[in-house]
Amino acid sequence: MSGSANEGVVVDPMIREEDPQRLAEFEAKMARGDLIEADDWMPKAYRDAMLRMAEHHANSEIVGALPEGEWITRAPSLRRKLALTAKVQDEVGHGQMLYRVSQDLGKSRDDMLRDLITGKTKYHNCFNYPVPTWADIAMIQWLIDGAAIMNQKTLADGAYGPYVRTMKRINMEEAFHFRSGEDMVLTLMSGTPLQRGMCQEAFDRWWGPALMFFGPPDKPGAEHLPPMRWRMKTVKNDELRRRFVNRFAPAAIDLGLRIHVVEKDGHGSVIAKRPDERAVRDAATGDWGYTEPDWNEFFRVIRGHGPCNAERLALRRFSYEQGHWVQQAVLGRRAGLPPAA
Amino acid sequence: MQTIPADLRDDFVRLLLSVADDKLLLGHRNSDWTGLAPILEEDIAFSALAQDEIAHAQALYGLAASVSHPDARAGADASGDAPAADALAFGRPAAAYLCAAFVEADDGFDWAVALVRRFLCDAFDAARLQRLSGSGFAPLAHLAARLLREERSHLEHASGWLVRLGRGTTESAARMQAALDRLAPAAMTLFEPFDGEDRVASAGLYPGDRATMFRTWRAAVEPVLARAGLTAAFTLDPDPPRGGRRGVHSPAFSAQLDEMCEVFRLAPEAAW
Amino acid sequence: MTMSRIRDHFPRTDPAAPLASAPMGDLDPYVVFTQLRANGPFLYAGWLEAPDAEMALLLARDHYGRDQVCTAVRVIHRADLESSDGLYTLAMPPPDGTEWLVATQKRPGDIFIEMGRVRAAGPAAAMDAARASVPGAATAHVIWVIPADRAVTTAPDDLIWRTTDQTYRLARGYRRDVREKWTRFRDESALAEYERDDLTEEF
Ligand SMILES: [Fe+2]
Ligand SMILES: [Fe+2]
Repeated sequence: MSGSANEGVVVDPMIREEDPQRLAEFEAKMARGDLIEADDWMPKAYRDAMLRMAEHHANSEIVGALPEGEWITRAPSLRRKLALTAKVQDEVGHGQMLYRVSQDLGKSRDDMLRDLITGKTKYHNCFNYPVPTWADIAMIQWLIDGAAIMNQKTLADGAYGPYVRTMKRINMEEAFHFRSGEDMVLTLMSGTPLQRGMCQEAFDRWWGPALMFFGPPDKPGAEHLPPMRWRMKTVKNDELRRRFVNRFAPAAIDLGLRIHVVEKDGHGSVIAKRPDERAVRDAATGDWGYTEPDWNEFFRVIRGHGPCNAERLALRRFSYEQGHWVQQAVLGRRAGLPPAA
Repeated sequence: MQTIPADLRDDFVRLLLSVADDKLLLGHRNSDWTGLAPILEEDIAFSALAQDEIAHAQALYGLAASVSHPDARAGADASGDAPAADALAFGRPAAAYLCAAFVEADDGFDWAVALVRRFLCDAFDAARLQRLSGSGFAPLAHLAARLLREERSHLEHASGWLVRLGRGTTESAARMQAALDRLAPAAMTLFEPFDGEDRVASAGLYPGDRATMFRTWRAAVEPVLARAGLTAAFTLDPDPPRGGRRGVHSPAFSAQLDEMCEVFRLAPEAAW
Repeated sequence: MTMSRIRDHFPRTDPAAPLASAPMGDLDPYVVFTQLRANGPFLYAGWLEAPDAEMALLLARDHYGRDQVCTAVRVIHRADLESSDGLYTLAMPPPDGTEWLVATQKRPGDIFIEMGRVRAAGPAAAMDAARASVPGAATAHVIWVIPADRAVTTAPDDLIWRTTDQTYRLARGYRRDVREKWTRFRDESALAEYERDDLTEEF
């Protein structure tokens, strides 16, 4: 599972202060589809926005390891236990690689981890939802990793070289997450009534967050605004969402899952649901319909009032504080070594 | 030897289970650190080692299953028959687990404890796998030789941290020493014999003896502790009380097992 | 529902309270190369941070070394790297006549691949020697040169890729099973449509 970096993309109007000649060269490079490397000239606004985006993505990987991590001790077979551990471990690895990209843009990892746990920076919204059953693990790896892959494939077509390279390597690992998710969902839906019921309930919990995964509806003219003009993002939110629904809605229905519009309480539990009547294929466009997720809920969760925001940050904070002594003990070792011959 | 004589079979299966159960429980406890351990790079590596332990357990359970039911499957390669391995890992009552008390205990979410325990266990496992690699039962000897290579790389990893943290800051040295003080006596439970150990030893299925293995273990552990500036005294109880190796576990172990088997028990016959 | 014991019982601090620990710096960065087959080239895998080169190598083995079958892992401190585009500069030049590893990035966005070795006095001379004698270096987008004795590499008998069944952590460990299960629920054309969005490159 991985973060959509969309929410991290904000560019302020400071580009007006840049040297017009260099800015024009930069914009021309962007228009040509060239890649930017860490030492190339770039507008400060681009550097700042790229840092925010990579940092947000890294934060999302690190926090994204927590919800699924809850089930490592309870995985129902040795293979699933191994796979879930490896999957969560991969997410930590993604975070590590993305923090590196961010560090080269000018912020230390330690500062980023501290800003994350004190709430100064954000991570992806979907990790603020609860994971009450094993079937949620299956659903997260199918729907959320599936959504992450669709998003990250387009991010790998971006313009910032270090981020693009990292995204390519990350995607190679994501393939395992998605296959393992499919395998679990397929196994549960081929299983006992209890297993199929668990799977449907988990689907009801995760379909909404999966639709929200790509971020809120695009602003008009998004393709001309810096995030897309500078290829930090290459495809619009609504277009990604359309592709996602076209892929997953019919697959879910064929599996025997029913698509519901749900109402959740403050703990993220489903308290009411009804069939989503829009979840049908439009014969004219070929697109599958869906009911828009609750965007008020989305912004409420972003502001820190989701079901698990406090829990995730508390655990991340504990991890940082309890491990502080380890890093402290080995800091600056190399600097203290005698110079090489 | 390609088959186990019927009169030794139960003892031999206990040998395999004692090794596999140690590895499963250690891997179980350590994998729970994934996403939470200090320094992202170490978080990743520590999780990789936990996965190795679980994968080793899986291979050993597979072998145990094929030995207990020699007709079920031809050959005794350890990688196959996942349901049989899972039934052993998740489907037994607490008293049928033969892991040592040392691997069951909570680490109190103290990474110094987790690390020191891993170090002491890796050294023990290396010594035990060394012994098993000389087993007269060829499938076990081959498997043990393979796993031994991985175990040695675990030991290298744990030793690397032990030395750096033992000789790091005043705080890190104190934390490591405190963890060692807490763990050193309990580490001796690793050496508790399982029922029938002498019989499989003298039949050449588990060549060697406890006292020699204890010396091998100390010879591996003590130089690293010395390099780390840490001190511990280890004494082998010649007649230890009945503990984990003979199915006597703490009440906390049952609770831990309930957690580990929570989903499996919802539908033990089903595929998950 | 009970949470894993550790995650349920970790001690909580007041989220509004300032952090108990002071900020600290980062560990040293190392670039990691992996060799995917014996005698094959070393390929850029990524970066990591570690206390020292010895730990960097151990940590690299258990991260980048476990993504795919891999015969050797090499780590290089960032300060031991000189880059033709000025991104990295060697902190302590080695004595004259040192042997240098040469890695090149063919086009922007490509990964670095170790292409050869040269002997030269100083990084600038090494860069020139590389352009003259290392295949592809003359036309490469960026060249890295590294004093060869500063690179730390696993020994030939070090175990990196594990001997136990690793298919649980690879996409291909699931592919056949997953496809077979899908066919119980979906027809070929629906499945083909769905699979169009699959990743084409994977570990
Ligand atoms: Fe993922
Ligand atoms: Fe990820």
